[in-house]
Amino acid sequence: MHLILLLAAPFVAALLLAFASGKEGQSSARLGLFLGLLTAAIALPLVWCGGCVSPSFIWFQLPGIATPTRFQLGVDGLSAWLLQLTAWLVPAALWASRRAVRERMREFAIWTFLLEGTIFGSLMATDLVLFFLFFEAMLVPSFVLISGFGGRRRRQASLLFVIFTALGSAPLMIAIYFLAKIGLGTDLAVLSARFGILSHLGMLPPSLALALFAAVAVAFVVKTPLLPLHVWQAETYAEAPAGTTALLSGAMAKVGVYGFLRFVIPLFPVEAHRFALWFVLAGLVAVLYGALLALTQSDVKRLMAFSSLGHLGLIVAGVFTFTPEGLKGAMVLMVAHGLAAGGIFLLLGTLERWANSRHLDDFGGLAGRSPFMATLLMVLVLAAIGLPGTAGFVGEFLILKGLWTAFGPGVAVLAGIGVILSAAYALRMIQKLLFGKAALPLEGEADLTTGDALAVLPLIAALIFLGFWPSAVTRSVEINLYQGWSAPSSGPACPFHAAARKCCPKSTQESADAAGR
Amino acid sequence: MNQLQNYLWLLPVLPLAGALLNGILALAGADTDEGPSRGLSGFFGTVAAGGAFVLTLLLALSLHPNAVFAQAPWTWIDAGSFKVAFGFSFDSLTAMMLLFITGIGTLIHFYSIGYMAEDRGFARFFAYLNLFLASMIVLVLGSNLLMTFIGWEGVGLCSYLLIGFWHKEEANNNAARKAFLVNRAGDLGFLLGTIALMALMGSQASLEYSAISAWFRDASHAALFAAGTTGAGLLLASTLLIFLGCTGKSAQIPLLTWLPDAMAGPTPVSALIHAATMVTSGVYLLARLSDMFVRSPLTLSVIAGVGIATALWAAVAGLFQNDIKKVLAYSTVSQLGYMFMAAGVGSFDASLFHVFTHAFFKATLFLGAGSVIHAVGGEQDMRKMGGLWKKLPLTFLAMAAGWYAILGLPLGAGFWSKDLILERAYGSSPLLYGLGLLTAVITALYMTRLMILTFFGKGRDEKLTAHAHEAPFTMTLPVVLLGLGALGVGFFWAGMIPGLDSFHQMLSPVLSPAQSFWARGNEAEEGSALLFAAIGTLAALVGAGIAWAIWSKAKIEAVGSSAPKGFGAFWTFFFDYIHGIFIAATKALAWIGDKIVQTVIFNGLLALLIYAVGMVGDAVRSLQRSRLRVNLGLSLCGLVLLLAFFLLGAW
Repeated sequence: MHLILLLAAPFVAALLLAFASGKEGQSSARLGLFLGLLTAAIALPLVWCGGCVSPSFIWFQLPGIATPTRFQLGVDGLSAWLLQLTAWLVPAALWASRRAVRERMREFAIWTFLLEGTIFGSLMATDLVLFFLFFEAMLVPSFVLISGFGGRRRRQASLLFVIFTALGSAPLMIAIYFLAKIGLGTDLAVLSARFGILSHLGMLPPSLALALFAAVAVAFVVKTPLLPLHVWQAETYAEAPAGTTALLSGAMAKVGVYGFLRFVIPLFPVEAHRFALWFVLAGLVAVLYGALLALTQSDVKRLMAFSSLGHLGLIVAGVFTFTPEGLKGAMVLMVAHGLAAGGIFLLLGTLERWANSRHLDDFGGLAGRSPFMATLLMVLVLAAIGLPGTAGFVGEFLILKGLWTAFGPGVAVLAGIGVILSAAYALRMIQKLLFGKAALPLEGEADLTTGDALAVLPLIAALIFLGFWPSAVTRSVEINLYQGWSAPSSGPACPFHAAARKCCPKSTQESADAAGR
Repeated sequence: MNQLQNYLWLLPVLPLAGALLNGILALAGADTDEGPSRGLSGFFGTVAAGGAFVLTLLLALSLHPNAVFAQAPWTWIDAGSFKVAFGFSFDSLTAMMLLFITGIGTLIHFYSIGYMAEDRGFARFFAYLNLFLASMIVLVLGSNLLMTFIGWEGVGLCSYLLIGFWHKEEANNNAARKAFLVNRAGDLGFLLGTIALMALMGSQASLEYSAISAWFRDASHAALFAAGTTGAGLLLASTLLIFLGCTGKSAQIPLLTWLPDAMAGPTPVSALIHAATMVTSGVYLLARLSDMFVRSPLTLSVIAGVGIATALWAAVAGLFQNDIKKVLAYSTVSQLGYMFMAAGVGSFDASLFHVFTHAFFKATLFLGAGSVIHAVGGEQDMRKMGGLWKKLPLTFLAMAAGWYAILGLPLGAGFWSKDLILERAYGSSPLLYGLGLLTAVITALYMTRLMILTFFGKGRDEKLTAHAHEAPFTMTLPVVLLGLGALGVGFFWAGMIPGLDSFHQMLSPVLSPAQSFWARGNEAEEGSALLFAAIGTLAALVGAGIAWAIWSKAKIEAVGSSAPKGFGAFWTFFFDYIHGIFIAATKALAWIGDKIVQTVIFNGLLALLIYAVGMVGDAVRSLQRSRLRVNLGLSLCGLVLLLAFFLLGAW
């Protein structure tokens, strides 16, 4: 019931806001903050629970397909941390956006909650159809947020975003339909068990498996994104309102990586291992390309967009090392990047409002004008480039080690060069924004207010806490993910393995009678 | 064991608390007219440093020579079989390092109260300085490589913040950024070297220093890295990569370009970070991993070669400088070269002894230079100074003590430590000894030049020197104390005097296994210590004499900027030119990525896609608008197709 409550929370919040008076932005912001924090509080215990599954019921039946689509939610260590990330970023984003959005705060909050709800749904669905539904539904609130609240070129940006993501997930839809059609069902646990049996018996033609693998993977390549399907990213991140960009980069991009971990690897372990090196290389290309392009950007949000490209690339590379270090490092880095990039985008939103510009050359001397803002931005940027003592360092180091262990020193050096370059663009940004002399007179408050600082201070606190105690993430991941990560030879993979047995015997029954059918 | 060892964690936490307190003061007082209270923040900052010194002293006094105080509050990183403890350990090597780090650190905090008194960012300065001290303590107190790395990048960060302390000047910011980035390149070496070491140690991999030493000392592991095996390659890679990290932090070839630029920071920073403590962490790390490095003779030769080359190059560069702080910066690079040369010939104890004595005399020289700069209103060009000894007698005497020590004149601190290094170098290779001696001559040359230009002759710029006066008590006291140290600390290991080798005795439990292992393979030639001392003294006197002959009567004019020109510029910035190639290559790649790959290829494809979507959209729209019948027909076709797909699709 806990999971259903959590999934319902953002939708209920959106509904409550819809009934609330929309005249005054400030009161909507306060209500949004309260509801956001409440939702986050509901999500928090999941970190300790380790794994649980909601009751399951038959939802609907796709025409022409025998097995019904079930409505079932499940959470394990992997999704628990990404849910936390989303849940805590939402109130921060709402609160930090209140001065920029002003009287349209109610609409902004409603759509932000809908975005949160769909991200929650994607992270908790245990049925492919259900997952796909939420995965696609994410587009609607993001589209509205970007096109309704974004910058000057918001129209193009939102269209680009929708076209790319929709095209990217079309093959996924076909693959899901096909899987259901050939009688494998769409329940993740059942599906991966049957897949394992089929490929074990050699009954799945390799070319077919390969085609399915590619169709599923491409959706997540777009979402993460990796080259060459990253074209939508810079434009979208730059034009979206800061509060939304924080969520897109902090939470939604992680759903792409989540897709690899939850679906691609457990369903197609053979192919995933076969193409592991290619994914690692694609990730490293993104690392280097993202860092190089971030060096040349003059739009500060585009700069951070390319920085995100690089970080997500490193995370994907870590995942596809298939080593405990690489996978745990990827997990820690996902949380770290979500917190740091989310926080940076929120602060950049305030800067954009002050300067009415995103151009780096229009800034300067903020350290003198607004020392509080400067301090927080500095700390977040240092966390983003993985200074030891913040969570990012642990993630990056573990990924480097995983890369060396799995593929030798060459790839580790490539990733390392990306790490140096990330410091180069980050310090360039810091220097242009904070130091030197002011280029343009800024409007707005003299410095970050205490209220605005409260939106990012918890993110900083979490980054430092996880920097010294990353086990909070790595241990909870350990509980039940290894099943999905184990080598293909060790048998069928089931991501909810331990969890399903513990909380919900039904699921195992089901796979038993599914095997009998 | 001792009760005190439960308080190891307090060592970094004390200055860290000072940093937080001062940071809050700085932010809270930012929008007041006068800024935060200077008395309060100076007091907190200095007391935090002093507290760490007192605690270090207590710990060091209660430490049995062979014992180790250790504390590991929790497991930091836990990834399957790979675990890293959040641990501290305090042995005699740590004790030695921490004593001078916190001791000199406290004096420099005290000095800063006077030096920064007029500065608006007083509290911010103390926050950074405290944070630096905390990081430096973690660097030497960490019980494993990754703990050291926290401090390693922490001191790099503080160095960045303090070099760019006056951040309205673009030049300062560029210097700060350069320091951070060059160090990051080295830091990558550190991390990759660590990973290579773990690959070498295999299933027993541990990053704890005690485990690493034990693993290498275990003779049964020698086969794992015997010549020709993969292990040999890993050992070579690991040692070279970690050494690359050391060249970054300790400003050696090839990663040395940042240190001279780092002089853009306030002078107490140059004294503490860029002379006495942070830049010696590379030497510390080599000593800490001595059991590993002595098993890779090739790496050790590289280290010795890099050390002497850096020492010689930087000494010559020091001759070309007119900026008093730049001279001292190149001098620091050069002296660090000596330390690396010593480590490269397997004499880690000698290299650490030079770290120790150098900390005193170079801090004296820098703080003295700071007093001079303070007195002449911020001018750093020595060509505009002169005749200052009468006006700044205390500063002059202290700097003279530093000069005496760095030249290696009899009984000064450098006399004992530098001669020890040269003696050990001779045992390994006479060529190293010869070059080392040449460097000593040049050292005497540029240091004597500095003293002559600053203190002797006539004041060359009346505006500056007329009103020069001695600094306040908070500044002169530390300079004088350190000056006394520069004369006296050499007696901790006065090789020729029996019984005066407590420094050697103290470090012996940590370093002797590695050094005796090395000595077994490398029979050293013994020379007469007295003869070495005599030759060394002669070299210093020759250098000083030449300098006196050239500059005491020379007519010096201050024209243009203080930066070197002509060949001097070529020599000084040689490595900057080489770095420039890498920077240009990165910029070119970034340009290609931005202008060609992203703009032409990706955005071109994108435009095509949008065009295609638009065309389809237009076509669809024209169908929808005009012909209802076609529309209906198409819908019907679609329905049939869908049905067919669902019904026939089952196979």
